[in-house]
Amino acid sequence: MRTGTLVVVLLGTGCVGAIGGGGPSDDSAPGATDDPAAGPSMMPGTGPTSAAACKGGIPAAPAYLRRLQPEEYVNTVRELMTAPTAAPQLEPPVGKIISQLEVEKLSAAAAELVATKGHLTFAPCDVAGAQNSMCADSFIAAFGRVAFRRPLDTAEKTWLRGVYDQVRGLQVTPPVTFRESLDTVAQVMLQSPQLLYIRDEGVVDRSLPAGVRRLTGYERATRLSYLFWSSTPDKSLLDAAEKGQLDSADGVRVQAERLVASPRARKMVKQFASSWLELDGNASHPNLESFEKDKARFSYDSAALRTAWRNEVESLYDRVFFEQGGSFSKLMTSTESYVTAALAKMYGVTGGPTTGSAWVNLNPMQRGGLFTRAASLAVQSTADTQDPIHRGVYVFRHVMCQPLPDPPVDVDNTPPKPLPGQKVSTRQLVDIKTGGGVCVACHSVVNPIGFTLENYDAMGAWQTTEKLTASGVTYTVPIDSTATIPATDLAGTTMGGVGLSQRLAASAQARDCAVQGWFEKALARAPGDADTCLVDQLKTRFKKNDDLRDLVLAIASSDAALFIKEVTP
Amino acid sequence: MSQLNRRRLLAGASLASGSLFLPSLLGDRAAHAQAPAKRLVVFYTGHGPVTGKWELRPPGMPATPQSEWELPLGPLAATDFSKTLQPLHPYREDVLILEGLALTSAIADKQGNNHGVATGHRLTGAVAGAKHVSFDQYVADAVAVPGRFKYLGFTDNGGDVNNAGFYDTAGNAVSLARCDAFYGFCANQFKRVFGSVGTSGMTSPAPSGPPTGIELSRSRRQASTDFLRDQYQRQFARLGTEDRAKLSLHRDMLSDLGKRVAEFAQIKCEKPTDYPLNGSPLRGKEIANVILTKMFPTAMACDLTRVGLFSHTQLTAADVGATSGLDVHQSIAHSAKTEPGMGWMENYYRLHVDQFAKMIAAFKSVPEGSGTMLDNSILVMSTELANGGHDLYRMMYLVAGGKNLGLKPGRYLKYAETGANPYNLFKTSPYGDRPGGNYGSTSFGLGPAHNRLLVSLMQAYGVDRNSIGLDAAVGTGYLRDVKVEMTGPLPRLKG
Repeated sequence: MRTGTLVVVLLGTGCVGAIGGGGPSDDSAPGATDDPAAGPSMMPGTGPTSAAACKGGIPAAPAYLRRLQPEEYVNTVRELMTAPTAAPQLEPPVGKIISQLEVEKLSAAAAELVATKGHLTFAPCDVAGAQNSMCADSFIAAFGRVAFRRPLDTAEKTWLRGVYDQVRGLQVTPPVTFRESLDTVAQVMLQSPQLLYIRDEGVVDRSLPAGVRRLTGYERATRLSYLFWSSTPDKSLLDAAEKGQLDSADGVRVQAERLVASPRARKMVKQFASSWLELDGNASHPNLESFEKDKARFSYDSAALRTAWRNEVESLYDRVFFEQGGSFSKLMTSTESYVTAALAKMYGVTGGPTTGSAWVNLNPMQRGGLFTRAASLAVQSTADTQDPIHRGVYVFRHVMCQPLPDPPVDVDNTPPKPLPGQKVSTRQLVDIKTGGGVCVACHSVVNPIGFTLENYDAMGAWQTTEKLTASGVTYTVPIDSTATIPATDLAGTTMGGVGLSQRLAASAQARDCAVQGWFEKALARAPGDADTCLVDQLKTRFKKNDDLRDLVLAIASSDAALFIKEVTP
Repeated sequence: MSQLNRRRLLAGASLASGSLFLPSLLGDRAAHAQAPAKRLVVFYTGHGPVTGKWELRPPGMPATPQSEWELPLGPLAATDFSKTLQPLHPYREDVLILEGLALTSAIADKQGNNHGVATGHRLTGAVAGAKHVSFDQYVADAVAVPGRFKYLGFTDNGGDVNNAGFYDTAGNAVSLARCDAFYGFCANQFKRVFGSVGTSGMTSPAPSGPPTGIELSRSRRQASTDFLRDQYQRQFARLGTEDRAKLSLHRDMLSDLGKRVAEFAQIKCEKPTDYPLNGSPLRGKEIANVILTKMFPTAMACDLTRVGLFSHTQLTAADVGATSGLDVHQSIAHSAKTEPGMGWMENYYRLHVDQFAKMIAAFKSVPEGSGTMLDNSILVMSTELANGGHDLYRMMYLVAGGKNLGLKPGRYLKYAETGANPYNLFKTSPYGDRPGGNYGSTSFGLGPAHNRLLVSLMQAYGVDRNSIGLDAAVGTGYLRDVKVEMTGPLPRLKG
């Protein structure tokens, strides 16, 4: 999740040149080290693309050990074992360090996966036959190359051959079969650090500044594959690495375009959308599916409707990203909606599907863009009412990337309730509660953003009036969704959610924030000082072409993705 | 060697890097079998009961915070129990009900809001967010058997698997397993715990005959963990300090797993014959019931673990009789000072006490020596806060069992709330309060720090500690010479 307080400092000058390909080549680049996994020597065009243009140098950051996430592991072993329906049960990660539970589940998963026999296809001989050391070596090399995402080094081959030798050497009755020996080797490999963890080591390249290492083709393949497919590199990627085709930024871009064109990339984009919209829950609110709403008030709520909410926003991001030129403007203003019959009814759309889902156009006076849809509105609400404070904070922090301090400790965060005899709106209650003392400094900035979304109730349904209760007496008040936003380039009087969306579509800061979000997604780290020039280039390019897809490809083939900073053990 | 079966030898494939299949483990287990195992279960819940409603106030006993007294529970009728505590009545001879303790260390902690500090402090007595060891892990170190689960921790479908950031004494995070549909149902957790265990008897005959598929699989799991340990070690040279720590801990966990796989093959006990609700999603309170009344009693009767943790997150509005979908935190817990919120929160805690009572019954149903497993176990129920209003004093603690661990159950213990209050230590002047505070406790005295209960519990298991977490809160400014001590065991638990 992106941190709301992280602000990229814009230097913004002196940065010219291409991003992500076509950079100056370096014919004098010497070969790499003798690392057996490094692939061929550096070729023309392998040098950094922005080093010459950016005075800050190559945007390389240290690479740290990263454990595969459960989804990545599942995808990886499905590919590896040719078992597309394998569904090993894993534990959710609890932090950077693996837990005992995760270790247990991974161990059990390895045992179950071996039973699928998928690994045996890597053995170039009859596995039902007698023990066969040569075949075992071939199996170790072939299975290892896919499992470890690179060719095994000599020590690894020796280690795994040792496993094989020990198992086949057991004096048992009946004797251990060849297949059982290979099973044990595979089971060991499935739990090995080389498979479960990703850590880029890179290779020394004397054409680079001191302390900067070039990622090998295999490491670049791994980065690309886990970014776009959340899985291990396929045969084409490994072959491209082996042939040295990933030693240049151009070559990386070619493969990145291949991966993003695959249907497998669509899940990544949908997951990015869900994560951005906080649909999976966080410390402030539960996930979309388990967020309890007032059943008496919203009797039409159902699990199917929640699914439709998520599907709608994920589908919209997907459609814009892949089919509509990746247009950020469109994402912010589109009235297209992928609805079920229940969601169409909630949106007041006629002509929607009777079964399944279909694309329709929503009322442009009520809806426009991602942030006027039920999913994003419902998670930034309470069980029974809209929540302008949290909606405003969300947009300010996560759509505009603006820093906002946390509220004081032990702040009374209970939703304001009308006093007996009061007939005030939610908006007025919020104003009363946050309009004085230390609250006003921040709330005067975030509340107006949230107020523009007052036409959407706790479910995200359209409302022009709202019902509140004071001391058991229910009253109705009109909705006022016009607000004057005081800060950022959203500033100005804004009418409703559609007005807010139009301002977001025109906002340079919102675009910069999108660059930051995708940078963090693609590189699994926040931009640092060394990335300033690159990020500026990305921002400039994105403002010019308004293309999210190109943005992701540019990041994935940028110097920040191709080089790392050396870490001293 | 000719008669040795394949299972044992496949497991013995690990001999090159150190055997895990050792007679010494059996000897260790045999030694432990001489004396009954000592067990601990900690059941911790969200929010808190209704202050003024859960306590027992029998005639003749002073109700003032300053009073200190003790009440035998045996003679009391069910109607003498508060609505909240009534589910404990059938087990009144088995419980200690403690009134008056304070989360003193949390009051002294100036970080975060009361939910945050209470959650962080309740098992550690220490500042939230730091790498503090929870008391159950000190106990686990004292009672755990090699090759068994050092502890089993669970939470419900909404729970934090990171367990509020508690750590064990080696610096590993204490993580909780989620028992919900997304993470594999309760059935999978039962398979994880009991899947490798035999079926009857407690002795292990020498293996003979062809191994079953399960046995081969188990053996391969054990062997593979052995082969892997060295490989994890080999990676260290290339890593920085932080990354090396990640792999080092992973290696150690693999080692523990290998031992357990070997050990569990030798254990035979009356494990569950069918796993509860295989494939059916459970929610909140249902998960708690399954873990507290089936998982922990059975796993502990089989001596697969000796420490159990269950973190219960928030109940639903429907669970407590409120309008379904009502915001439990804001509209129920925070509204517990008046009706209908008060009634809802009474229901809330009656439900948790009932869960606790059912666990007592399950432990009591297992004969052990001349008594039951409950005599050799301590079951603790710890609420997050004193009440729905975020107070951190006059907490409700329930302690069950422990007769053979030095406790004298069957009593209600009211502690005097006359001790120093660390809140006052942070006043900026004799006339001013700490700004921004909403700690619920200001000028009055406090009962004993809950750290002292944790110390008593640790000592019951032979842990040689006289304190946990924060030893004392020291004043600032004009109160800089004032200290609020939080060390030493809690008096009166032993009678």
